[in-house]
Amino acid sequence: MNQRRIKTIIGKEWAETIRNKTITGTFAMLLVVFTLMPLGFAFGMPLLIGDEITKDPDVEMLNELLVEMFPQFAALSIIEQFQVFMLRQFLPMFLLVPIMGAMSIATYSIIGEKTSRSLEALLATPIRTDELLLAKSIAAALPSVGATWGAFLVFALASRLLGGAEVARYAIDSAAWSMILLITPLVAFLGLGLGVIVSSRVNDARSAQQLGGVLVLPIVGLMVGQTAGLFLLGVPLVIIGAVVLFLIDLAVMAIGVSLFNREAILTRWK
Amino acid sequence: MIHTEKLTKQFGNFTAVEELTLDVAPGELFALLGPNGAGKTTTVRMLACLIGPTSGKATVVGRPLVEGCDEIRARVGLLTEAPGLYEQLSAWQNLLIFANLYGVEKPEAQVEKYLRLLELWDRRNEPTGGFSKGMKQKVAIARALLHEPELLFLDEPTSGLDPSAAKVVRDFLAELKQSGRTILLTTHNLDEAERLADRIGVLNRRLIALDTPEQLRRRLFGRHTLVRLAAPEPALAEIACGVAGVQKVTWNASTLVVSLNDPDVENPALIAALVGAGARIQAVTEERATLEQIYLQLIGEEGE
Ligand SMILES: Nc1ncnc2c1ncn2[C@@H]1O[C@H](COP(=O)(O)OP(=O)(O)OP(=O)(O)O)[C@@H](O)[C@H]1O
Ligand SMILES: [Mg+2]
Repeated sequence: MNQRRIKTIIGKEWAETIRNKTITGTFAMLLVVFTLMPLGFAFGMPLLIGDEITKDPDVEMLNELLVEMFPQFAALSIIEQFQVFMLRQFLPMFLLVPIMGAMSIATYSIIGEKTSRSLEALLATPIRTDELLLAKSIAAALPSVGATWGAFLVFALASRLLGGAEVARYAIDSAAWSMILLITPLVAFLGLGLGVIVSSRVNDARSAQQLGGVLVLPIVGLMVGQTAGLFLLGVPLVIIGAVVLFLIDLAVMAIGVSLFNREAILTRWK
Repeated sequence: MIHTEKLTKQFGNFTAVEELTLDVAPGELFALLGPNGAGKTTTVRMLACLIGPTSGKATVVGRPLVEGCDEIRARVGLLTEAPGLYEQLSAWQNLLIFANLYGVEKPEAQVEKYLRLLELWDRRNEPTGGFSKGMKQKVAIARALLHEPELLFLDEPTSGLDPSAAKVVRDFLAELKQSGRTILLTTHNLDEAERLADRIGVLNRRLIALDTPEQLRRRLFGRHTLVRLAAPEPALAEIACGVAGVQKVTWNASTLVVSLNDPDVENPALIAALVGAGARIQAVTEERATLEQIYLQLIGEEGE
């Protein structure tokens, strides 16, 4: 592996990515929506609706359920319980940023090279295909993971400021932190691998995004389906999830690597 | 510099290049000429280590295909059929990326050198997407030269350029040749091949001819000497036929068309004989078959 070549490709990818309004726009939107939405629901709604919210039968039922399952919640006010629930509910959304972010950077990058026909010149240089794949992976994964972590930090700080120490402690506990720290990179690599596979089959960015969306959907469903269980989520469960994801990543990456060889890219990636 | 033996490339059942045997000497400018789909790009891609041959052997810059590919890629330059620039990025950025990928020692200085040489310096910071075809092609040529390769593959260097842009590129290629680089170029442009190339290979899946432009012409058509007279005089044809080396004599209006074995040697005797017989010669010219005629004939024979 030649570091200079890898760094060069990463720099090139980033120079192109920041000039791609579709990608930067998607990123900005994902980040704003997923940071502001849970905050809005958790802290905006009680403000708007006021005390009425405590009399809502659904909220009452939810509170009873929560306190039954987690006696320590009894110490929180009804509004605080509602806030904790809302903040927690939206946590998995943060994982959409790395998976969709990494996937769109990767597909745009590869499909961009296909449509501009720049791959041939690139492959004529001494760069090795594993260096190229690694560089493109880092270039797609790093900003996706960084943006997710950054947004989560903002989200955690805002929760602490708006909701107070208790709410923040329950909503964003060690399980939440471990999930964001551990699962984010793994999910980014998953998005990346899927992006490489999709781009090897498709020739324009739009159909790639559609195909990618279809592939990501079950994953999203899985994550959202798990929200109810999120309160049960502890650090050990996160670690088990991480191991499983890691294995899936390896499989997806292996497929990506096998698709990524000079001759195949030039002659079969039509 | 390049040596191939029965180099063959198949895509599935389809043979794109069949048993190509070819030698290109150091410093030579070799033109690979052929119609669309003849396998020119496929040949270049094999020799530049982008795709592997199905069978046959080759050495490029002294290294064997496929084992020596890491070194071959580092030592040859390739101008691809499409410029394939990163269009959002500037010429400077495009070239710097490749200078770094090729491990050039002083990348900035090298990029500057070629941007200036190709008169792109003033526009180095503009996105290449806004460049004309000719300018894009120049950037692509610079990209192939940054690491000072000893062997250069140029896949249709002037295709799609207007005559003046094509001339700029052609003049530059002539300079490159002067600098001692070995160049293999592919082209549809017969005139270009004739003007630039030391030797021409006509490819149509197989190599159907391989020679200097001059020899190709002679082999296929011979050369004619045209003697323009004030008026046709049948007796002069008889006289011409008697001169040693003359193959055939015909009249074209008042011009005598004489086919010879070797005009350079036989013309003086021919003209002396005609003048001696009292011919009133207005002009003597030589007719050369154009490369286009040769090419069309070769491709035509191939199709039969
Ligand atoms: N990856 C591929 N898969 C299948 N067939 C291919 C592939 N690449 C090239 N061919 C076929 O091989 C033949 C030779 O193609 P090639 O591109 O080498 O021709 P060429 O001489 O460069 O033509 P042109 O003048 O149009 O550039 C063509 O018939 C082409 O369709
Ligand atoms: Mg071609």
